[in-house]
Amino acid sequence: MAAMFQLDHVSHHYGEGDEGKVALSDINLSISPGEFVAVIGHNGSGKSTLAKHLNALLLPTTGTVLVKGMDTRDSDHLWAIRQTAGMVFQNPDNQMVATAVEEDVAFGPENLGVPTAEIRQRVEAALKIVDMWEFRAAAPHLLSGGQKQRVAIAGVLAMQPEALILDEPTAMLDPSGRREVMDTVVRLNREEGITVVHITHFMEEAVLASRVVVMNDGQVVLDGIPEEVFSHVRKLRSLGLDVPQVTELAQRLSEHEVSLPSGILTVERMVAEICQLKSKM
Amino acid sequence: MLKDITLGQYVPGNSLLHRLDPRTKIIGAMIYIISLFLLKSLVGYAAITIFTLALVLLSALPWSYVLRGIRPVFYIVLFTLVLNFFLTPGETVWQLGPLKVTDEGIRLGIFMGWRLLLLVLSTSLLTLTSSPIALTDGIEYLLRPFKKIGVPAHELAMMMTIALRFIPTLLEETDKIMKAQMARGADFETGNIVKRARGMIPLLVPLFVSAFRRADELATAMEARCYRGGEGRTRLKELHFAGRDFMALAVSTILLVLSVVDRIVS
Amino acid sequence: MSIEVQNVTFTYQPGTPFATTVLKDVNVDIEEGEFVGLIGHTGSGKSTLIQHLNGLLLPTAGRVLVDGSDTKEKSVRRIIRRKVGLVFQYPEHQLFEETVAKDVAFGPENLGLAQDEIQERVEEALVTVGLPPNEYAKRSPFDLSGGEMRRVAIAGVLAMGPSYLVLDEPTAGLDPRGRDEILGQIAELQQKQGLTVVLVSHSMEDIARLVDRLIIMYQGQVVATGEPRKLFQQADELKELGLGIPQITEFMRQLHQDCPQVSTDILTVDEAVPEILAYLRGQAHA
Repeated sequence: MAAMFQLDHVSHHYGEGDEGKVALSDINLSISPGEFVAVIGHNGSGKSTLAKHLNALLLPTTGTVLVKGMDTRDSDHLWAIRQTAGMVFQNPDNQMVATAVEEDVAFGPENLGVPTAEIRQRVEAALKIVDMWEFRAAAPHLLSGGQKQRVAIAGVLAMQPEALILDEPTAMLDPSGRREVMDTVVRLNREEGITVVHITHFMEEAVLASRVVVMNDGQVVLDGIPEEVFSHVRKLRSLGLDVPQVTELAQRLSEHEVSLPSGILTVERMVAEICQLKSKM
Repeated sequence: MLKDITLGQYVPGNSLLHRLDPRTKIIGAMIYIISLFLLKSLVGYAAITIFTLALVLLSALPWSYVLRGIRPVFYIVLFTLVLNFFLTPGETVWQLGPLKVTDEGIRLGIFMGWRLLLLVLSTSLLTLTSSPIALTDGIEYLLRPFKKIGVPAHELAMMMTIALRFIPTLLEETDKIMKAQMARGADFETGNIVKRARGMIPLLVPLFVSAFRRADELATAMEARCYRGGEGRTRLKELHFAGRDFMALAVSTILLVLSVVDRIVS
Repeated sequence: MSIEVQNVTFTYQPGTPFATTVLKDVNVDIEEGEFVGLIGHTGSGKSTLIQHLNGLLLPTAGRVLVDGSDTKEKSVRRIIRRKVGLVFQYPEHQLFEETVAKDVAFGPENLGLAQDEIQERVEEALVTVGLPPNEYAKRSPFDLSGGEMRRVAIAGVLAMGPSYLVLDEPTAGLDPRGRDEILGQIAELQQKQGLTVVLVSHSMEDIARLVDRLIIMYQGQVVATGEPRKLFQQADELKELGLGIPQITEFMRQLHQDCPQVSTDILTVDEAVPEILAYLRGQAHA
């Protein structure tokens, strides 16, 4: 099966020549269809630059990025790539174009030249998936942050993409907005089979992914299933990142010779492990 | 709250006026304005007034809304009235010191003021019964034939849409920055003009910076959604002329013809 | 010395069809030297309440007293704005000067202070937020990173010399390192300089770690106030208000259901470690 995203020796420099700031250096990464990849790293680690390479908003200075086999530097593929890999951005206000929800969702298909009747169907389907159909006539500025981001997701879905790239979509939201967005994203991945690349610095979101990629200084420093990545508590801390409190607790307990498996990420699992340990004593 | 301000004061509804194609309404409003300036006779004015009131009834809008649209221009009308009263030469009716009110002045003043009122009333009927989106679409369609002579119809419409979309956002932001600077002791309310103008810098600079940042991010987001200009674009809502639109345009044409006749006869 | 919010009701656009009451009979006292956490679901009235503390908004009914002065009195408004420093959400959006030093000086200049005093305050404020003046003072605020811009903006409020510092989600959008730096500096200000701090936050973990007292708002009313240790025990009630509790407290709560010996009034990982160790080694107190 062809990779959804294939990055080979990708480097990216901002600015010209040697003085240019290195944002990505020699990234090798392959993401398969259907994966849910969380990319974490502190601000300036290169995670957003990486995301923008996945739909040709940025082009590599050296190396190649293939989206379903299409080279992002080949301008003939530009629109096919952007239709395949849709993107949702951080600031919900700055990605809505129209003055009504349904008009905004229609923006992508309109650009693709989809016939009017089909746009209608797509807008309805997309708004229903993100549970925003009843707000179809609302003005965007009267929605909550979480609702705006779900409309933005619908706007991408209406283009019928195979992958969804989310560039810190929850950074500006309150906890309930974050939950709304994450529930939607998880559902799209599990039920619709959409490949998800989710950029975030909230660890409780990374835990939901099937794979976590940790970036630092423009490089991939850790890459694996969440349980594995979050077992490196100290390393993550040194990179300026959090781990879930129960994961930290497990790590701290193991320093006191309490033997717990590494990579405990959830409250339920931690409770089970402690109870089991106690019963053995 | 600033963000509660409704845009273009559109009042949703299902009246005949609401259902007309926006193009019909824009063309109709233009014909109406031309007719208004052609008319000269008292009978003509009476007729177009009755016609306008009939339009208000057709719109099924509450009178309070319609009258609220006139309120802002009330002083301008009053000013026009007074100016014409005193400054038009003619037979003196009434005198106060050096100021003379002439019969010609009264006639002209009332006509001018009345014309202004009807003008505002009819254009506010247009914005009250058409959503901003519909108006933008209408303007885009109407400008399309002029594309060949270099009128960027799609781009203009897109700019209007984005402006409408971001006005509430920027109003809200203005409110926020103003408060943030007031919390740092800024004073936007007192002082002479120079001091006040200087006092706007802490508000305007952040506002511009933010507007540019938003524009930049929006451009990226639009590109990511495959926006590449108006070429080959389709629309969620296509505009279609219905029977009522042809009727409305016919009525508008009759209005225009009658006005021309009125002009020639008087 | 304290801020007293007495029977405050606030209605937006009173007397119009758009009238909405966002605060209903709110009573709150903020005592000198306290570290208060203000939490509530979005739309609960937190932002409206904090804008009353320095007179940016005036109550429709009731009154707000800052060290005994009513915020409705025009003559004391300037003094109140100086005493109560208010840091809005995303405060970096208010930066406007060519250099960091000039921007931080904006507040003190509005107070009409002498140049050398302004200079002194600017430097002091920059040091407090961890931006060495010799390195940052002459730079343009727009060339800084997001976290640095945020700290310049906070310094701009600190340079006013407030005795109360009110912060609306000062860490929103920052990464964990940026968040820890800013919260660390705020905690230090409160402890070393005796500043009174009101922190609005959605992060229960941060709140639990930092504040002495919690004020919980819901639909325009203050529904509870007290120590976080006590209030975080009522997880079910908080959930009904759209609020959570720190993950570690939630963990202790769930563990407690299976193993009633463990205590549930744990707020941080530091507190949880000895508790669990004691439990596993059979020394837990019932």
